[in-house]
Amino acid sequence: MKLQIDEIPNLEETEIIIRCREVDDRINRIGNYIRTSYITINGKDNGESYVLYLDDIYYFEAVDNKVFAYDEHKVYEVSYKLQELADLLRKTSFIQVARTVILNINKIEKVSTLVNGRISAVLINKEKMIITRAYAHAFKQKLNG
Amino acid sequence: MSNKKFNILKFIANYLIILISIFALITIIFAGLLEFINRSVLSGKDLLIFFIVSAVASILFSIVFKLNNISIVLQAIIIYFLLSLIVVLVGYYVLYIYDIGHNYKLFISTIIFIIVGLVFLILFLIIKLRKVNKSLNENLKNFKERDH
Amino acid sequence: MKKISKKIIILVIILLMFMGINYVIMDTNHNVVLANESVEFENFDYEIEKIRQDGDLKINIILSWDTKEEIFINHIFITVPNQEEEVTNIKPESNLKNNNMYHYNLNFTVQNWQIGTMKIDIAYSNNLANTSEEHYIFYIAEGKYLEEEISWGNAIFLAIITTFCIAIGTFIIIENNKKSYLDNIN
Repeated sequence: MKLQIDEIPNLEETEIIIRCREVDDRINRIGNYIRTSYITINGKDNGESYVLYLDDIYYFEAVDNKVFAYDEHKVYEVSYKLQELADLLRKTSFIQVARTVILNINKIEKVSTLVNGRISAVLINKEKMIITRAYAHAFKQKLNG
Repeated sequence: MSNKKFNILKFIANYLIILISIFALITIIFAGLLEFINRSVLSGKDLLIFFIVSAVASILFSIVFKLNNISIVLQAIIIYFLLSLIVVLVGYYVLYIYDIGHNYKLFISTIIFIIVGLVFLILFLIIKLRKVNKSLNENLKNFKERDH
Repeated sequence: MKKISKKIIILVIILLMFMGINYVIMDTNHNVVLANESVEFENFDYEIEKIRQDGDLKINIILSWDTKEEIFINHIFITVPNQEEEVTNIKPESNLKNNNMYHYNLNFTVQNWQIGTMKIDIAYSNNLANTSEEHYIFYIAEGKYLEEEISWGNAIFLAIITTFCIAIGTFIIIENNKKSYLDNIN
């Protein structure tokens, strides 16, 4: 395998091209990692706009027809609908875990099973999320790869 | 069929299954005990009492299953405890098989072994739960390492 | 829903089979043996019921019979192996039936646990003055109330089986609950 990194100061947008003979599991994982690290979303907090990296976001939550992104310290309102985000982030480490929540798996510290098929997830900031039973199976499948 | 109707039907079906399970359980236990001890059989009145007890107990069980904030171990303990209570109360007050004055050997043995069974159940569930959680967390760890 | 309906049907069938095996109509009056023939007591019937009074198990006995003439009960003696008990102050309910027979209904509770064959001796007289007392004796053998104390070995064995059944019941109920919501998701 050859790795080439070209630093071009006046490049408008970072471009990553992977050339391979066949797209296998490993290539897919590299692609997913790159997507998670480099996809950005615009968020608003108190009228000010911010560029949010997916890697920094813990979870998205829909409340009163608005969608909010939660990072370690702050909450931002984003202009996407939850379903749009679910489609956009399908191949990343994000997964829908409840009717109104999309969670970043990389921000989970540990999980444990609860009654009635639900799963409790403790995030790295010690916040607790419940993965409802409707989404528990998909969550386990995603973990299994 | 509308969602609401389906949910009601689903609830009724679950209730009936719990009712029949409890009824079958106490019928089998006491039919066996009576046959062994008295060489007698259950009467129609006994079966009717069993049915009423099962119907009431099923309501309790349905409520327990609605509790979402308890662990799997606690849920199993509650179900086991309620079933044991039903068996002991029916045996004591309805069939007079358990009695502190007479047939105390059976009564004491049953209580002791129910407690022993509960201990085994707790241990089994804790070990099973630990295994499941360990596997889940390992998959989580592998997933996170794959991406980094 | 289909899977749940199938489970219900199977359980109902198993249950009906058990009920069919275990159902029995209470039978009375098939174990009475008369020690002396008496032409006065007719249509003699008895019922025995276990009851719990103040936490103690006792036996409630209901006797009924018909006589051609009125009689007055003086005493009732209950005898079982190693134990004799006199039941006094018993007044039977009586009424005159259509065929001019006197019908008597007697209800009393025996204090002690009965084991073995029970002998009931009814001492009665034909008049209030008690000028001549006669006895009506009968035996009740192998009634439903007759039990023997089981041994420790048997008690432990039965307790283990009971516990095992409870554990299986717990497992079935929890698994069914788990399956029912998994069915909904799928």
